[in-house]
Amino acid sequence: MSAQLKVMVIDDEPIVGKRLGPALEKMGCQTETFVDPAAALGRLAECEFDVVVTDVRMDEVDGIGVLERVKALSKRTKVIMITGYATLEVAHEALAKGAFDFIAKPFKPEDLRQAVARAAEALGIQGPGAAASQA
Amino acid sequence: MQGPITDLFINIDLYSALQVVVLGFIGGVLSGFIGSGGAFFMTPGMMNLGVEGVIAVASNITHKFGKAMVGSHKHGEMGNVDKKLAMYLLLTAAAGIRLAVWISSFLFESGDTHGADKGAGANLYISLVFVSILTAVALSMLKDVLGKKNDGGAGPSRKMVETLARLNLKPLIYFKVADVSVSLWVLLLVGLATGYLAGTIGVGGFIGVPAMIYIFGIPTAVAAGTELYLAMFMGAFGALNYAFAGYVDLRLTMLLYLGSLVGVHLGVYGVKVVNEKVIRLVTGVIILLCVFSRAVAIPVYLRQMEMLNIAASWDGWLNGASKALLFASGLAGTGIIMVNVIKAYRQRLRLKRTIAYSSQPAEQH
Amino acid sequence: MAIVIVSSAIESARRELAQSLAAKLGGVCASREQLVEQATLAGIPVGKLEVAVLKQSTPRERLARLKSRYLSFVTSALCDLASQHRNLVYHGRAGNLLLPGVSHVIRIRLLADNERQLQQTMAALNLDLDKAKDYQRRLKEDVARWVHFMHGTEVDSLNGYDLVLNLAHMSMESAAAAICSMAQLPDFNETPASVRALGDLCLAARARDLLGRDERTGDMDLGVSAQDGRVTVTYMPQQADEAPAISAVLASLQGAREVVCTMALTNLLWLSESFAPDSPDFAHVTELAQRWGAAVELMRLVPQDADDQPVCLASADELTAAGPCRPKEADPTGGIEDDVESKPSAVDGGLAATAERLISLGLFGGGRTLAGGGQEVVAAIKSAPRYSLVMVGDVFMSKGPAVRTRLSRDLAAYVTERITLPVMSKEDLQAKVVFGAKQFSRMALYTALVVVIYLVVFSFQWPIQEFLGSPGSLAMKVVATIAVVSFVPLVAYLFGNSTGLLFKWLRFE
Repeated sequence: MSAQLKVMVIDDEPIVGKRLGPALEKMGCQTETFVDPAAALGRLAECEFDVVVTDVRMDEVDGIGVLERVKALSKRTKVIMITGYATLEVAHEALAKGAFDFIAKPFKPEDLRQAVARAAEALGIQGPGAAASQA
Repeated sequence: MQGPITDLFINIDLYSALQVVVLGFIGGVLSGFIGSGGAFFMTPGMMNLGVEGVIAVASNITHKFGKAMVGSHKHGEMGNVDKKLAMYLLLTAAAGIRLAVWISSFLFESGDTHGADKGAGANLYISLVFVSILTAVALSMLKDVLGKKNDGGAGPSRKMVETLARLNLKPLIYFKVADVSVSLWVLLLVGLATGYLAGTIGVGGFIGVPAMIYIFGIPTAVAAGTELYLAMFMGAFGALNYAFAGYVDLRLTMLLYLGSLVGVHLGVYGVKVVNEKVIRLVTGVIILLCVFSRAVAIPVYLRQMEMLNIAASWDGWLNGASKALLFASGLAGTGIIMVNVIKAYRQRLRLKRTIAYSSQPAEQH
Repeated sequence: MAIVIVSSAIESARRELAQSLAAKLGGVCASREQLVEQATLAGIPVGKLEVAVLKQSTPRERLARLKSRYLSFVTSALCDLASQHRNLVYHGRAGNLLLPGVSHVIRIRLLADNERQLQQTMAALNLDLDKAKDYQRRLKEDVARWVHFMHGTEVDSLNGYDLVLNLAHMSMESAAAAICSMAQLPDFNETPASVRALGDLCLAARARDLLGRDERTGDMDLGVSAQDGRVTVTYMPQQADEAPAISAVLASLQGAREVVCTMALTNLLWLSESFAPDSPDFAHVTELAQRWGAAVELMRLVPQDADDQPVCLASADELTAAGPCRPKEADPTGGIEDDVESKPSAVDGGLAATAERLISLGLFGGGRTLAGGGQEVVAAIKSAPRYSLVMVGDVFMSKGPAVRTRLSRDLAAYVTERITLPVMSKEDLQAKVVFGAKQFSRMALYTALVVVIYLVVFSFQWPIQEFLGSPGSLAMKVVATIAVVSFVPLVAYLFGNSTGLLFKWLRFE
């Protein structure tokens, strides 16, 4: 299966999307980045993504909210939480609500790529993700 | 009570007792350090005091038996005794000794009709073997030590070991403690040769230790430890025979212990603290001096066999020189060892003191 | 003035109690969550620590510096609060461990009512019963691991507490009242000693925090301590060039009578194939290092042909995930760092874990892996001649015990001979009680036996020699032979033991 992995990145800091977008495209993902979580949720309603990468702390809708919404829309979508304010409490809440992975900032793009590759693997997608994880 | 016993055993006064103790000490240091070498020194030393040759040998071998037990135990604790190797060598060496005894007695018997000089042929043969073999051993040892730069790894030359390894003569036997594999055939050959030389010239350790180092590639310390272990069995055999014959002077044996058991500790300590190069240097020097000692006696045998034309009055001088060289070798060897041991001891003592009483605790967190 | 610290794994329970208590005492209430927030804003990525605990796969050793920065930040923040307010109530996970040795701190352990907690969790997080239970269980486990990771003690250990309150049996109100009346007890009054202890703790924490924040000193792994207002910073010899920055950074430290900057005088080189921070060797080495004010450099010696690749930790840099941290606002990356070629983390024989412990003790002087033997060690030591002692630990582990003993000794001898440094084996370090009363009495016993035997033999020398020398019958000969070959080893054994102990006493070992 050679379909491109569809990944959405949500972070209210524009720089995060700017840096992560290319990093994920490098491994062959089709990536859309959002600064506004509400807009992102709108897009999610239109189209199913394989992986959603979201910040936890955002003003309008927080990451947990995004997670709940994504899971409600599409059970199979994997959600990876990224945050600079990780605590065990938040992390366990996210995991209890179905988050796939939890990454603390600061991190290297490679860390995220690995998490995305694992998500692709969990989805049964042998493709860019799997290849990238071995690269 | 003074009976026929006094003909056999000497009267020991305090002075001669002290001399025996000193002999024991030197023999102990040497054997603890090199793994052999006590006998060549102590036996003639006691004979100098007027002890009958056979009594000296018997008391010495009995003493060696007990001391080898203590010494090899110490070496064993430090991981220097390969019992498996010792057993192989013991069996093959026993065969070698039989061979040597057979050759020597053949020469002795056929030593023609010259009556008083009957043993000269055998003596000459023994001395020649002694001189040639030990010269080779000592020189190769010294060359190995002196020919190397300080940094170039102080390990003994492995040329012979590697050549043999390339031949790969199966079956190979692995020795766990020494951590080497040796071909069975090489083992048999060396054991036989060692036994033969031990039986001929009476100093098996001088051959066995270098053979183990250079032919088997065994670390020096293990060679020494294993040799001491071997000596325990050989000593036991000798002690049984001589005790049965009634030649053991228990007093001499015990006096030897007073010195040798102190010496052997220092010798073993020396192996631990003195570096491998010095060990081999000392061993080489001692062997070489022994060789000289025997070499100066060769003209005597030659004259006795009428192969050399010198005055018979020289015999005394040459024998004296031979003896002196022997003592010189023992004293020199012990001297070098003791200097090194004391140096190392003081260094370590200072270190331990520094550690024990260094400056007051610095609060760290 | 009262400082109350409430510890509980359940955040909502401790928050409720602390707030009600602060109101009763008329003081300020602070929480771990607030301090974590401040720390993160100040550029300490505390989240990394949390996630490291969450994902047990992360090598925690790499977070040593971050951990120390977090702890000094929290401690110094607590100190600031305590100095600004008359009464302080702090609540957090294992907060009881934050201000050790200060007697006017009341440490409370709060056990939450499980049933009530479950209901609250279900409501607050919108989870069903099973998921809420699961959530609580996992969180509890992780908090326990976190406590172990951060403080090295077990969360259930009650040693550090003054009082345990179980909310299953009392209301929040009563709990707060109980603590309130406890705070009035004379035992928890300030004393000059407790004030001084708190002051020193705070001073050291502030100094550590300042040093950790500053770019110049952030990655130096310094030993910081304070006593009676005197701050001592110990740095490693290899940091001598950067050391002047320490005083510069600490110039802004308030409340210090004096700042002393000392170089750890020397380095101990610890040579071993494997390291373990819990081993007796570790205790011996660190004890020695502390006494000497020395840093410990680890050198992992592996056989030349070993499979694992040499890993070089030239400094502590690679042990810590985060280098010197800059305030978040100034972070242009949004928390996304650049990719760095990461080396495969080979099996490191406990090097990283031991390094981490040394860092936390302020004794770490570097670590690396070296393949080879004596020659390589000598070359390595010669290239950086700043050691004062080399300690040879467990080397040549793949060999049998006898070979190992010998090879270790040979290695020590080889190194001693080529460098003018003292080299010790682990036996030297462990040999504390070399010679006790027991050994003395044994030595006396053996010596006495030997003296008696010699006296007897030499008193009856002629009868004995006659018996040995001229026995009559075969039976007599056999008896004499057996007597000799059994008596002689006995003498050798007794006298050998006596001299052996004598040499042990003289430390000829």
